[in-house]
Amino acid sequence: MSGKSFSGNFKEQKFYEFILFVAGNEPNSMMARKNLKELCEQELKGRFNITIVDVMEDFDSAAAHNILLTPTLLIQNAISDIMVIGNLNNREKIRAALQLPLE
Amino acid sequence: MNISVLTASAAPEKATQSIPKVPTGIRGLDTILHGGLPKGHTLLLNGGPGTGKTLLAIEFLYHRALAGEPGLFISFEEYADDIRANAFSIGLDIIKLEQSKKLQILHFQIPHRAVRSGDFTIQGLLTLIKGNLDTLNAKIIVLDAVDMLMRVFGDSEREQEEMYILNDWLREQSLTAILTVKSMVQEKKTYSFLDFMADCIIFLDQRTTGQVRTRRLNVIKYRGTDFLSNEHPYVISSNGVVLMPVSGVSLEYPANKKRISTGDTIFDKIIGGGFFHGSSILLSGPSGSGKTTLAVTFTRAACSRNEKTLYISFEESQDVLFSRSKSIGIDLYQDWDANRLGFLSLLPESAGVEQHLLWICDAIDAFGPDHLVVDAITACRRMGSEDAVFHLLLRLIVICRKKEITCVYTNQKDTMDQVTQITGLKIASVVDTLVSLYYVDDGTRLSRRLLVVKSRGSNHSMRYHPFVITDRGIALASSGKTGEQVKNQEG
Repeated sequence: MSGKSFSGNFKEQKFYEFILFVAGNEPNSMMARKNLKELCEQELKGRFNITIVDVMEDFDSAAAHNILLTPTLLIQNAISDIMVIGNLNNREKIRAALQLPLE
Repeated sequence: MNISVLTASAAPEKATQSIPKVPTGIRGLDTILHGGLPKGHTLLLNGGPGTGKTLLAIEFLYHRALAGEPGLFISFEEYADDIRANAFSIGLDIIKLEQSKKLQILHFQIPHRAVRSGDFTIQGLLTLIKGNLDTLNAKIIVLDAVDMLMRVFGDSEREQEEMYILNDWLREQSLTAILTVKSMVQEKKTYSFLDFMADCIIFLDQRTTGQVRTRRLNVIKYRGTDFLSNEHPYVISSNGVVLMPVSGVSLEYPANKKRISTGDTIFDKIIGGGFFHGSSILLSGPSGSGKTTLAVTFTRAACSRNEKTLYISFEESQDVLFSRSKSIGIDLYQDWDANRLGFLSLLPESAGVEQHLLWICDAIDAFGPDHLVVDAITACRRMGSEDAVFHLLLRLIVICRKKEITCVYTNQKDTMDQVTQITGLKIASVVDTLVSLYYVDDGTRLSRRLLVVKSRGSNHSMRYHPFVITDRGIALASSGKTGEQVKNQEG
């Protein structure tokens, strides 16, 4: 494919900003933290920043982002944020949301 | 917007102190619930689309807010501005209460478009609710369209678990809560587990019979307290939701003692001294037999004694009735000008029975009449079913008795037959006085007869009294004929 090298270059430059909303240490929140960390370290090395917000402690942030369900991952984007809900145990779906190439 | 007078004395005293309750302030509902909603517990408000769940819930918060108890309204479906506008259309100014921090409407957008990856919980929601409740210092909450929230889980088992978590949390926080849920009979999803979860369940329903829509409210269960069962029709009026529970109308009313004139001295004599003040009178007869003439004769006489009369017409406009009356020498214009006569013209097809009853009751409250004329009750058939008409009239009769308002109803018989339809619309047994008007065909001409069929507590004439309608009103013959004589004459 002719565009391959270009998209490769573009990918190299992309930086990912994540906000993960969790609810204390309940199981799904623990799992989401672990799953996100693994994904980032394996696939986005050096190109990510994770902010973790515990809704039990930071009501204002939860309210500002209308977070009803936990865990919720916000992938911050120039156009609009992408929202992923759940404990992030399905990596393919997150890869799709991040527009990473399929393996 | 207080609890309606119609129902104020109705709650049985033994049931009032069962469990702590929060009054809803909705006209008639507290009578049905024997005081209000269970304090610190959950009401499940279930009903199809358009039944007024949201309005009923917001009106509850509105009344509590006016009473100084702040409340939080969370919508999972409608936008806050739409709810404010809808509430305003039934006379509830929410914005003012929001400004004074007594009420808050929030729309929580459910992330339907979000990517799902694994399991999640509603902990974020609980946190948001808690934060907002604390800011408002509120102990009352409405969660509107909870079904929309549950759909996010897409798995009935998970939905159920999360709803139990929500319910337990509401209980822990001692919140008085209303959860509204759309009932989806057609769909398989009915959320029947919710029925076991809630402490109080109200079902709202709407049906259309004879092109007229009737809304009904039914309390399915109420833990730890008594309530009025049955289905209760309700109206969403420009003054909020209104219910007029049948069983809430007290049967105790003062016995009528004072006599008042019928407007015609001979008629007074025939009936045994006039009508009793505060009694109910039914004038029955075929079309053109003189029912309206008798009714306006009574009206004019009452007004001339300076007694206020409210005339409700289902048949004629004010102009037509007044000019027709004037042509037979009965001038109602002077009474109208002197504000002794109130007039309400209603089109039966325009609304259901409950709405009509509400309009009439509102007119009675506003005008404060001594007497009421309803011409003709038979037109009420066009409001829906014949049965519904009976309910409207029975309730109107009882309401008026309690307020000591004399009621004159006219009833149009479809046939000229003397025997049939004497008990027209079943209300003949409920009224105190029944007067029947007839046409008699003597072979050469048609003449009119008046017969007092019954008049409670009166020694009335049992004869058929001939009468004519002249340009100076009604002219009755005091020496009537017995039924035998009339029949012989006919034969």
